[in-house]
Amino acid sequence: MDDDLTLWKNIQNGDTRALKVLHDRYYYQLYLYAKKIYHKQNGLDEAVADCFIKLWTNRNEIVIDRSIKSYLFVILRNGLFDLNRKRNGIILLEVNAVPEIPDTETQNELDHYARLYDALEKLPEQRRRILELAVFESCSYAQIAEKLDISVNTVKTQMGRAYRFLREELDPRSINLLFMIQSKFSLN
Amino acid sequence: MTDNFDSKWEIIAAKIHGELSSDEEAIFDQMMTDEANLYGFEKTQIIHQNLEKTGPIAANGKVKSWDRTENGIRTYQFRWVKTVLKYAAIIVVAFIAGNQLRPSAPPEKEIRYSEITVPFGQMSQLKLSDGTKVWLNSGTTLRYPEHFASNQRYVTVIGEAYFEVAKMANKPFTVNTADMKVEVLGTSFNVLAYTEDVASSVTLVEGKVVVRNKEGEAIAKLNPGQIATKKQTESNIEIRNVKTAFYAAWIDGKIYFDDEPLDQIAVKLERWFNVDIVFANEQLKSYRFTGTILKNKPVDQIMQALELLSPISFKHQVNATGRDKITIYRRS
Repeated sequence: MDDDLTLWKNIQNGDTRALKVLHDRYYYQLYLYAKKIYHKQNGLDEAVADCFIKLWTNRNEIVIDRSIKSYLFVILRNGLFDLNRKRNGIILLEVNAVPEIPDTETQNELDHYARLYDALEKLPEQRRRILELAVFESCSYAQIAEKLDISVNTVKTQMGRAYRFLREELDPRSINLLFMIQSKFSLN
Repeated sequence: MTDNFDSKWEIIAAKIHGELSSDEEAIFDQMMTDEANLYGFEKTQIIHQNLEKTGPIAANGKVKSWDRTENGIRTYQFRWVKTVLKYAAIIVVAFIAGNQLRPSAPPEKEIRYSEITVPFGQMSQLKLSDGTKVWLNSGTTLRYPEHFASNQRYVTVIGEAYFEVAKMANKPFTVNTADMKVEVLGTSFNVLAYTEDVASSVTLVEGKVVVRNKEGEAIAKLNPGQIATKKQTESNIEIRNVKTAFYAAWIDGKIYFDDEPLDQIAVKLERWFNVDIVFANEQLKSYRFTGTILKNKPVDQIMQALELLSPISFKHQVNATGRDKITIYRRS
């Protein structure tokens, strides 16, 4: 796996694949950060994609002095302010209240949630769908079975496998960290 | 209590989602007497809680976001081309050319000529009225008629241009440069004739061309894959076989070197890619290289291309704190 610095060099040399690697590496962290400071779902996807477009467009002018990751957070934050300005009336945190980039603690949180999403993404399509219906839409197993036209038994098996996979995918250390931070960080 | 791993996870998941039957509740309680199971259950519960907190990310959010990014980049590149075209359009100047522009053409009705000059650092592409495609490199001027005469097609190039000439029997296409004329039928070729360069050249990719001197005498006939180079101070012309892809490559945003020593090429690469290049073998510095550098590609790809074309090998040391170092060795 290329480190960020190598990716950045390749991006500067016009390598779009490097941009994709960087995008996939930080998408969830940026998305979750945007969600945390913006409080609205609408336009978040655009805001995140815009970061990478800006990075690409200005790749010859940008000087990275801290890290490419911090730089992405700065672009994102500024992009969200612009978005807010364009859509008057949407409540965003006070400009001064939002740090230029998330502090280390927040970044670690984002990092761990991002890993959770990355794990979620690796689930087979149907298994993920079943889990999402159960977790995010509070559907009962019977409702899920009806919705997806499968047996309740299948739902049961798939749910077990989904949790087993997530549990195995996130190493014990990271689960402990998730446990430690869960009281400090709420996305809703 | 079950030993089956799958059913154990089914029970844990069902417990979390309140889907256990009373029989299963009993199994669950039994399971939890085992400390390892209890630990696993607690951790899984945390995963569930965290999932609930984060909320759903639209399915394939990452994929969609990348699609959007990719489109954004494309739009940007498209805008860039549009800007160049707009710019190019401003400096297209239509004028009436005098006879001196077509010295060997029979006098005809006045032909309206256009002239296009591409700014340095940019490239341009255009299609002439006969369907011929022309790519113009940085700083190149092309003079061409808005409509071609009935029996001749004439254009003039100062700088570098790549032509894909539309085939037309009995209507030869001629490119004039300061020092020579290239007469073709249907063909693709590259003309290099910057006024400040001491030599001009024409590289034939496919088809047939005849190279003439200023006076119109045929001095060379080229086959595909040949380059004809003429020094301004000399009347004879030198013909060599080359890999034409390298000479025409700039139309894709590449830059080629013609018989340039490796140490000079290294200096340019160092500048473009922010690397240090050192030679393990002094003799290699004077190895002359002819070929194309892909300016928008990673430096390793360029070094690999150099490896293919010259007797070198290289080693790339990534340096996290400063410039990467590339060492060039003689290939054994």
